Amino acid sequence: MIRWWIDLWDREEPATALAALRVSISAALLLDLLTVGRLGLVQLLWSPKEGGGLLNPLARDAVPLLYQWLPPEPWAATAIHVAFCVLALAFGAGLFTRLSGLLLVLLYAQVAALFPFGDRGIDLLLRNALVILLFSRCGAAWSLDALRRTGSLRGDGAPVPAWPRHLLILQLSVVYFMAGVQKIAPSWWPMGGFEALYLVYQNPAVSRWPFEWVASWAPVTRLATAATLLFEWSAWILPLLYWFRATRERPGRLRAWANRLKLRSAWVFVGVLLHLGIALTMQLGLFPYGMLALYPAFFHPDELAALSRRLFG
Amino acid sequence: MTPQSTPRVKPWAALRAGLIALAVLVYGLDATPLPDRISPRSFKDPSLRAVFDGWSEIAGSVGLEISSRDLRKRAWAESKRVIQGRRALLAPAAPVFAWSGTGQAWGLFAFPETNPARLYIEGSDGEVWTRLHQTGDRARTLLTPQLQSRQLRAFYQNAAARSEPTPAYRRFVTWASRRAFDEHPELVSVRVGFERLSALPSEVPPAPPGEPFHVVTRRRPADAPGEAAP
Repeated sequence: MIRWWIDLWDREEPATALAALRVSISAALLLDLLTVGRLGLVQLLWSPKEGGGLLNPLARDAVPLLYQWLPPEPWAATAIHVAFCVLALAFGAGLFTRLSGLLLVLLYAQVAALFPFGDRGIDLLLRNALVILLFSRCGAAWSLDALRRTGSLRGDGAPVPAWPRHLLILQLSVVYFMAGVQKIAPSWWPMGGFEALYLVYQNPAVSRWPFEWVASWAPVTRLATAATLLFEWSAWILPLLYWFRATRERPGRLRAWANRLKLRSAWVFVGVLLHLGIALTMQLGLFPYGMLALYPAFFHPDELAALSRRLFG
Repeated sequence: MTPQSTPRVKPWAALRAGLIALAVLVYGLDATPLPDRISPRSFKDPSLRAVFDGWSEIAGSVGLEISSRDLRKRAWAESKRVIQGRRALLAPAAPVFAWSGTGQAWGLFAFPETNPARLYIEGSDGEVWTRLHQTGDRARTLLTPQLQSRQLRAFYQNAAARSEPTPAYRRFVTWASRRAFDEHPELVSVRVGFERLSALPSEVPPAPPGEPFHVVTRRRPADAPGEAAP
């Protein structure tokens, strides 16, 4: 068993999937940060009240580190914002990848302490992913570091440890499963008439469009509610489906059936549809894009290469 | 025929597998579906109360008589015990969680709001109050892009769940008023508040919004046209 566990985390693969994750996570984060800047919310969110902010972090028992170092002036919030953007950009471009990634995570955590209301589950998840990537060789391909070291942005093609991607798959499986387990309201369940999504769409702070009309489409929202719950509760089988794929040569009816039906691909496809649906119908900011930014983890680098060939020739 | 020998385990691979096991264990424990902390106030949330009402009703329908209040009391006691136990177990990892800002505490629409609060901003020219912003209204859109941002929305939705307007909410009103005075020079007063809506089952016709609450008014000082007086 111990030997199996050690071997499980000792595999290697090309660095491209981890590089894709590095770029997609940074891009999602950067987009969110630029939105905060474009809307003129930097001081309001990240300054103490003395600098025009909403909150009063200087009055807390533990003053956030950034304001132990910086004065409570409006320019300090601007400096934090600029540094955050530069680090996200540097990590995405793979410039001093480990260092920029480490500083990015530390700053992201400090910014969360400045305005805890704005720090949502997706921020927590992206920081988890960034920490995992810190220990990976995600800068070995498609990065300025690769260009410096090998003379090519693509890097030298040498395989890198695959465990960070596998750990991210496990993380995503936990995220979805726990999101399903936490859906405790009867409205998510048959006894509550699967009304949850209908209720969510009646909240004007969340729904992207006026959705009064969906009352006449109740069967559709009920079906979508049930499908969401089924999708999330089924997430625990995801690691098993990956295991079946990795050991496809072994016997077993369940293994053969899961591989033949491409259950893993089907599950991931439903996930993409779920997040696109959320992006189209709800205003949850970074959430759908941040989640989709983690989806390259679901694909082996060979699959990403095949997808890239199919899309771009 | 020589028996096939198993390759030796590389020490680094063994150490790495051990560290990953530790991380999976710690973060797995943190992922148990419970909040970080719990207070009696958590149970005052109308949407969570509706959840307990619903489960009490369902329990009653299968012959398990337990009132919503008793269910809440039992949930409070059990959750407190389990959360304290988990916190004690995770205490050694707390600095890692704090410095990296990592963790596993999330949920998406665990209990959809049955009485969502709708934010509004109104301005007066001294005679008539005009609604300038209303969440979800495509005709009254003052500050809509800002108020739709995930960070600010989370802030004012939290403010709506409080029993009284907080100092931070009052600063939010001051900020919104300044922006309203800037865009509408005719305004002499601005007020910001919430209305409670009813999200009812799809077969029930929508109800009118409830009475406004957390209404805070700001007046424009005569000598500073862009300012908002507290």
